[in-house]
Amino acid sequence: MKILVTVKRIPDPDESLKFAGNAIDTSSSKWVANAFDEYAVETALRMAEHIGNKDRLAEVIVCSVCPKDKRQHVTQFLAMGADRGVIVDADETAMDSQTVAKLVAEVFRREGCDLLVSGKLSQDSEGNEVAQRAAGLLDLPQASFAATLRWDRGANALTVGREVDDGVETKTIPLPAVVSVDLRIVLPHSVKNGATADDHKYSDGARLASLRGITMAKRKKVDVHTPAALGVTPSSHVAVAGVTAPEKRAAGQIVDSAQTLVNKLITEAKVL
Amino acid sequence: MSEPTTALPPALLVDLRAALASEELVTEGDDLAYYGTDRCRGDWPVAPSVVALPRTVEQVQAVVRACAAHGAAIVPSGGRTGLCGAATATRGEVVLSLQRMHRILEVDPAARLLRCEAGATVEAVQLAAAEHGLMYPVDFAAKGSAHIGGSIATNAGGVKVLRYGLTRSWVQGLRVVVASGECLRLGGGLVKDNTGYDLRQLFIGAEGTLGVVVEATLRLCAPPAGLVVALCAVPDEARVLELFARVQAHGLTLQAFECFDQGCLRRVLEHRGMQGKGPFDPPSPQHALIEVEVPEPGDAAHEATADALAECLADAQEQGLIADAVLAANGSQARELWALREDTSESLHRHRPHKSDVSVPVAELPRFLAAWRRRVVEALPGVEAVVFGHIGDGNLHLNLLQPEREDPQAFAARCKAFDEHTYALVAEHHGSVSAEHGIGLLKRAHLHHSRSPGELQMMRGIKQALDPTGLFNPGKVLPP
Repeated sequence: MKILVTVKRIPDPDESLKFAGNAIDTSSSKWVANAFDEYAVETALRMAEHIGNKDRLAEVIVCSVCPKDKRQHVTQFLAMGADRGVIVDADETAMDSQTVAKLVAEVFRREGCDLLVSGKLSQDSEGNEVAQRAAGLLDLPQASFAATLRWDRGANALTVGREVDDGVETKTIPLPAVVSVDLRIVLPHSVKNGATADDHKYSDGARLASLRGITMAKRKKVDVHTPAALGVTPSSHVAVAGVTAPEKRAAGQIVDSAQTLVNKLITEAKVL
Repeated sequence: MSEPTTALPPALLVDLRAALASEELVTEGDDLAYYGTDRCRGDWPVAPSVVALPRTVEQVQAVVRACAAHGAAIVPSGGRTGLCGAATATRGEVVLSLQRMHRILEVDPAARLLRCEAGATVEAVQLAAAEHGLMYPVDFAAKGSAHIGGSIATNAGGVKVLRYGLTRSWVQGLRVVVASGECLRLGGGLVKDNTGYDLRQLFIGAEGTLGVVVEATLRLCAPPAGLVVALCAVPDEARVLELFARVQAHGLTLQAFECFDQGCLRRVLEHRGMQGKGPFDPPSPQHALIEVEVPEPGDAAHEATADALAECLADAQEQGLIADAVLAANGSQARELWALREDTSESLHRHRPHKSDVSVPVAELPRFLAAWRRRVVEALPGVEAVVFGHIGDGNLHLNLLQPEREDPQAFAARCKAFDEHTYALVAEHHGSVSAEHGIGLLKRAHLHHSRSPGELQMMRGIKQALDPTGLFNPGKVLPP
């Protein structure tokens, strides 16, 4: 079993946005890993590990489209426990989701993977597209927004609890397949791989890199491909119509009595 | 507590009504009890007669003058997050709350100074400094509620003392309303001002017993270029200290070096409804939270610092100082790790902890803790002792948790009797009975362990000189 996990670097969501012309200025941004990708790698690791036993049930490969010298996020996931990395050396900000999906699909094919796990979206563009597009390109069954996942190794299938608007939809899909994960996939009982005891309690949330992981990460293999070598020409069909900061909210007012408040709500805010 | 409650003179109320608008004065209802106490639960009554909520310095002066004229005592009050009862009115005092004086008055980025009213929260000051790319480095868990005025009155410490010192280090100037009603300006814009006694320092840490801080000029500094945070699983307290020495020797600039034991972590995980395990499996008896400063901006410097810390910890692991460690890869993971430490007080709250905030010389920490834990086992059967603290400052927060079935009053009585053991032990190890919380009502009977009779006499002399009629916070700090 080979699990490919897509991971992306994004400008630190903790930092306030800067604008330059008709774009967001990321020139001085700190780049961090997308949080949903942490959940995706955690999901893959829970599937791969047989708790209480040294055997691994799957190889976990993290794949990122990024400049090859900006791979801190890939190292982070290798430190977290992924087995190896694949980098597609390209400026990911100059391509659309369809190009990223093509690159990911091609890596998936060449590696001969059985499962693609993605975060449901990246926190910067919130596109929520790559997993679905890759599933289409690979012509594989998909389950998006997974909150629970059970791997039935006998049937070579996954049963996925999907968080949808009106509740949780449970869906069984045969492998190979594509899954995108939501926040609750990292609750202590969300992932079951049929080998680790079903009642095993994982830590809440994605694991942090341990010391051993950090030391090991430096020795793990990372392959670097160019888009050309994967037979993909990067392009973007997205035209930016405009980028502006949200309007600033007016300062609040402190009023000295309830009567003044009511008067202002009637005459100024006009909400009463 | 046997001190008599004094009734509010009717003429005082007339004067207060003249000085304050009706909504700036609370004379009845639940608000009295709300404003009348801080976070310290003691065996004293909560009995304020009136709460004044002035909006201006002139109003504060008027309240002080009215109280002085009518012989009514004043309890100056901030965010009431204190843990020693210093902001508690026990006998009909007038509570003078600075809550409505919360403006940030001025930020001078060139001089790196911020001037604010005393009721501004510590967090509001931090945010105002951050808007100018600067930092107010005094930082503690209650910062969202604690007022700058209260933090000055208690010389608050917190989690960054190791790197930045106590509140005292950051107070450049104060405006203080004193017993005569006069508003003194003590220091301010000048860095250098060697002109006799530095009166400003007297009001810092005085817990409101000498006057009312109404405005502060605070120093700011440049924030660190970045921070790297790690949490270590450590087998015991002695090795926490060895780890501290090792990280410092490695040439890393420590912002914080905190510790908490398994008892603390378990309560935090329970309190947050975390169903899973903590960060380490198997659970660790002790934890060290390490925050290291990145010396310059940029990803490369950040990575180099993270690598240096990882290398230092890997060495420590090889030598058995730590069992394991995790490093935060980004800000949100760092906040998660910090929350495990900072949520401790809140998480212990439901176990009605009996707390002691003490400090001992850093090298004495393991010996002191071992002796203290032994005494708990001997003298308080069935009581669990959990400890967290700022190892780098020699500051420990000792907590005794109430057994589930024990009557709260019986438990409080047992603990109170045990306090004398704790503080005598602190004295034996050349420590302080109050590291950063202050004395208030809670610890005045134990002050003698840390202050000599000569010092106590001089402190009484200062009180007498600045507040001869005992107008401000009577009964606090100095034993009656």
